[in-house]
Amino acid sequence: MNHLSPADLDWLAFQYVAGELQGPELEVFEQLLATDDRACAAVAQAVQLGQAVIRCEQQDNHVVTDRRPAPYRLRLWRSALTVAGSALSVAVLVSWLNLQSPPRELASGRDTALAALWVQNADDEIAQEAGPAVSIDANEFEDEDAVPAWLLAAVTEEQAADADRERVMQD
Amino acid sequence: MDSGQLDPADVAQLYARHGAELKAFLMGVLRNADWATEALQSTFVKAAESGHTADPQTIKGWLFRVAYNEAMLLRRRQSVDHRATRKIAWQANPESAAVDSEVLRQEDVERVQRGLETLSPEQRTVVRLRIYEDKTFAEIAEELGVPLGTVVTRMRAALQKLNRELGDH
Repeated sequence: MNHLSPADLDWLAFQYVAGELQGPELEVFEQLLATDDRACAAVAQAVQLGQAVIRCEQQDNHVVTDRRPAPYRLRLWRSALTVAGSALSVAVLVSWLNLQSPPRELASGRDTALAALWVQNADDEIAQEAGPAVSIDANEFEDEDAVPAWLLAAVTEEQAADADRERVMQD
Repeated sequence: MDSGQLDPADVAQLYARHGAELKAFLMGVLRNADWATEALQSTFVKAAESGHTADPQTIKGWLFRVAYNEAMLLRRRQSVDHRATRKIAWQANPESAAVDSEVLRQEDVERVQRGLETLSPEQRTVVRLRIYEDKTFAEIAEELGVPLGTVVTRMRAALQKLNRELGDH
């Protein structure tokens, strides 16, 4: 498939993302994804393109949220409650585990950061589902290049833990 | 670097440069925003651990390969058969019409908007029905009363224009 033109690749990527590739075609394309950066980039672009089209259509159609049927709103509430319940369960479980296990010096900071991230993701998901789906707020994209806190926390803690481990080994 | 790991600042820079594209790629492979986020996190943890072994000239390709492997691992763990999944990465139905701002930038939306304006009314209709209303090509052909081949041709031509507008890769 290396002889594919950019237009062919874009078309295949669109079909892949749209769930239209089947059987051998699908398998061959996934093999291509494992080795071909162009194919990977084409898939990424197909996803971005699809999402951008949805955004544009939402703008054109205006009040999408208001046209949603009542059962949708009920399902939204139900899923919000489910996510909140799950977050609470995890928080309780983490607290319980902390009480049960002896204090860990090396990785406790990272666990806390990951738990906070999990809860934040759940909150973000609720906010994203419940928020207005129509207009585009320029501020929404203000921090699009900012590095997420989870990434900094995970990397910093990983390196701190390694440094501690090395120090212990040296001692 | 002496510790055999990438500096956090380097990892942050990699994320700023490639994070959105990798997340979009993972959405395409996994068709699930939560799993895509999980695979993205694993990818950057791997980048922190062994990104120093990659050639800086080809780091994007290296990240794609790591992301793809993480996605495959996750898919196996979740026992998901991709072939059985009709779900689409950008989910056009109103129940999940929320758009992931981690994947999409405002400038991308503006470019695509400009691209949509260059389409013929027939092409624009096919794009809307296929992506936004999530109808199959066969359903669209039936609705518009045109042959299936015509619908596919219009979609393909529209995609070429939109992709050109969104940016070459």
